[in-house]
Amino acid sequence: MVIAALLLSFTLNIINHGNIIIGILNTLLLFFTIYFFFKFTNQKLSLIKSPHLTPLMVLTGTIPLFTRANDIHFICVAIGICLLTLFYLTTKFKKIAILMIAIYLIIASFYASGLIKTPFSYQSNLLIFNDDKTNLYITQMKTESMYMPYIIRSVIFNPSAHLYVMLSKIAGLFTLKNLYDAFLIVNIYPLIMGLTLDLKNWNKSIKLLIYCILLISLSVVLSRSVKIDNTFILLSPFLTYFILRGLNSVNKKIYLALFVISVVIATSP
Amino acid sequence: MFTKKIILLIIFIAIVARFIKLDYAPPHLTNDEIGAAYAAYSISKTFKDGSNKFLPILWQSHGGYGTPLAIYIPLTSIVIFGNTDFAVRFPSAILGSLTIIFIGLLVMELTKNSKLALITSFLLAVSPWHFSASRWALESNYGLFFIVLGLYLFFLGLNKNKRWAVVVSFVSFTLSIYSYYTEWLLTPLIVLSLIFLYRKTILKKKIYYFAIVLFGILLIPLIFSFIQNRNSTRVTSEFISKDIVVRKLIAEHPNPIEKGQIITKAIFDKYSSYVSFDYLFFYGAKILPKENPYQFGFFLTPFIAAFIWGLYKLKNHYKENSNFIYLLLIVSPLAASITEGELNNWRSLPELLPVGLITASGVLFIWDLAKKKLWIKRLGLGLLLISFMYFFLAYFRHFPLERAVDYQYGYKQIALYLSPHYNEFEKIIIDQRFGDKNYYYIGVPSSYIPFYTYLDPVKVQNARYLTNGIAFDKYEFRNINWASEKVEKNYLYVVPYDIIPNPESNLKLVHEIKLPNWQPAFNLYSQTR
Repeated sequence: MVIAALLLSFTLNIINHGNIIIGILNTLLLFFTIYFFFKFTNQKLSLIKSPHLTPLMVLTGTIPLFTRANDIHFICVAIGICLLTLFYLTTKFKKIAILMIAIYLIIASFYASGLIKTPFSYQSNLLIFNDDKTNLYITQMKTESMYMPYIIRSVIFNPSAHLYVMLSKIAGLFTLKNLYDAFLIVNIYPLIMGLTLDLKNWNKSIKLLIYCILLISLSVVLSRSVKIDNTFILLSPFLTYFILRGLNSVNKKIYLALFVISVVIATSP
Repeated sequence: MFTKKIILLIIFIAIVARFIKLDYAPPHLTNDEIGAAYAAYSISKTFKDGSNKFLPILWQSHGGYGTPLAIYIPLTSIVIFGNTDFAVRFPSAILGSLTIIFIGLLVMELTKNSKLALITSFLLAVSPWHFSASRWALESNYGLFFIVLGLYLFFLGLNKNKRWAVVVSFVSFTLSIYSYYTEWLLTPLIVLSLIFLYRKTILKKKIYYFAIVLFGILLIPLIFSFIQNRNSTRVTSEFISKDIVVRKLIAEHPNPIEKGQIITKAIFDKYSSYVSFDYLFFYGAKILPKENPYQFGFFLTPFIAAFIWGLYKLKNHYKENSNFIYLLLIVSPLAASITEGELNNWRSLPELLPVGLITASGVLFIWDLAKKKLWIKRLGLGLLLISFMYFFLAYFRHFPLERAVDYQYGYKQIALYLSPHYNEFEKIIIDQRFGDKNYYYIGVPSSYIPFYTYLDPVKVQNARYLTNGIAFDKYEFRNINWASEKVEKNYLYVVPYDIIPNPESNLKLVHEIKLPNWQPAFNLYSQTR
């Protein structure tokens, strides 16, 4: 079934952009993502053996993130994330692996959001703290608060407002639209099921996934212009994990009905 | 007990704050408010609206036809308090405050948990968007009130077998439909959900059959009025297919299947925006300009964590009723999602109800979880206090300063100047534009001026239509082009501040209208002085 999913993904890649190299890389990313899921769950669960999982797993080959992405660099970076997390799962030196993952994710996120341009050009003007409009409004709010003593004004209206903007951007990252553009509407269903399952059976190892998602999100929103596609490529191994985790628990009829809706939406002009 | 008293006190303060400075924040009556206010004033004097229709059901407003309760609710307070901003907004503040009380009663009826009921009321009381909505004469706020009241009475009737409550609940649902267009779709969906989810009880009792039939009968006048005006009502003119981007795509892909796909995708995309965390908890209230970082959502930002917890743990508090809340969460943004234009928080106001119920559940869960961890409670309360303080500052100080132009600020001030000087001028010509040379908007001074100057509505009903405006009494509302304008003595000209008359016309500035931030807005010119 995994092979069927990979073949489906590769075929769709060829149909979408006709580039064999990108097709191979995308399929490779899907393979490592699925492998990561196998490895991760094998440690405590035998979810893979469930008979309900396999037929639906084929449809993971249709996930747009693995069929439409065409930026070779970011696909390779995402494969790198998979390899590093796999390294973490197999090595004895967990702390070193975590440090490596963290540094890699931060740098990858900076590239993804355009804060660093290839090869090593740092774009300070894109940093959220240098947003002129936000800074202008902070000054304006201060000016409009002349009735307050200067110290109080400065405490209330200061550049910490940028942190609030960052939080808002993180919240805006995980909209339904972004999720279904990346994974199709149908996969939001197992994604939620997977998250719920892991929350119910909380395990320390799940923290790794949550922290990685948070780290990427936080690093990406440091830039004024968040590039959604690149961000979701980086997030793909972790979010796909939850999709695969939840596939076992979905109602097949609802899943297939949602798949039809997904096709309608995804093929819309 | 102490906590309950504190929560009650805060709810009380938040309710009282809904009535303070109603004529200052928002800074001016909006386009929609003045349309409804003027129609209400006109009906109160002549039983006819501005377009000469006798006691209309759907009435002609600036952008199509408005719903009935938008005019009939503020009518009484306008009769009592006169043509003031306070009179126009007072009923909304009352209904907004009552919504806070009834949502608590609804939760009590659904869960029998008084703590949860208080927290829910508290959440709504301090919700930036509900706070704002209660200070506007907002039809969608009336609609929300009738939905909450209807639901409370429905569950009261269901749980305690009170027949009168069942009947009144369906009347309330009807009134919600008479209040705002969003409820035309939402309320029937709520009623259908209730019938479906509680069918075991409903189908056994005759009173529900009677209530449902009554619901249908009461809607007949509205349906007839809609059919008569179907080409002008907002229901037909604001469907998502009228959206600029969607329209363009449809024109490029006329195939019916592709057209269906485009519309479906547009609805999904919009729905996604309406249910996104950033809209609900960061910027949905849209109090300050878009680029200002100090934005507020429907609920204060720290409650986002509680909302997520609430989604997960709702069943713990609501048991079998949780399905209804989830359903409410799904259907409440539907009506807003099928309409064109930018995200509209008026249309999505009903989202306050399910999001509030779920968030309150999460708050209580976290509160109970943190029983012994005082630092979590202190941190939560601290964040809450800080964000509420920011909201208060933004709302009462910065909002009137930064958003006055968007509210057509200045027309009321022009009217207040004209009242004592009315007899000094033979003709008063008011330019319909406002803003500045970067962008002039078209305003509706023809509604503001007669409202604030108590002009006899019969004169407006007999208005003359000009090629580029409207005229009644000694007023003309049209664009002024100084190059072609024949300037007369004893005429008063009102223009945006940067439309400066030719020096040869010998016009003198007689009065200036300034925005709350002291920027100029309008200049009044005449040759008389």
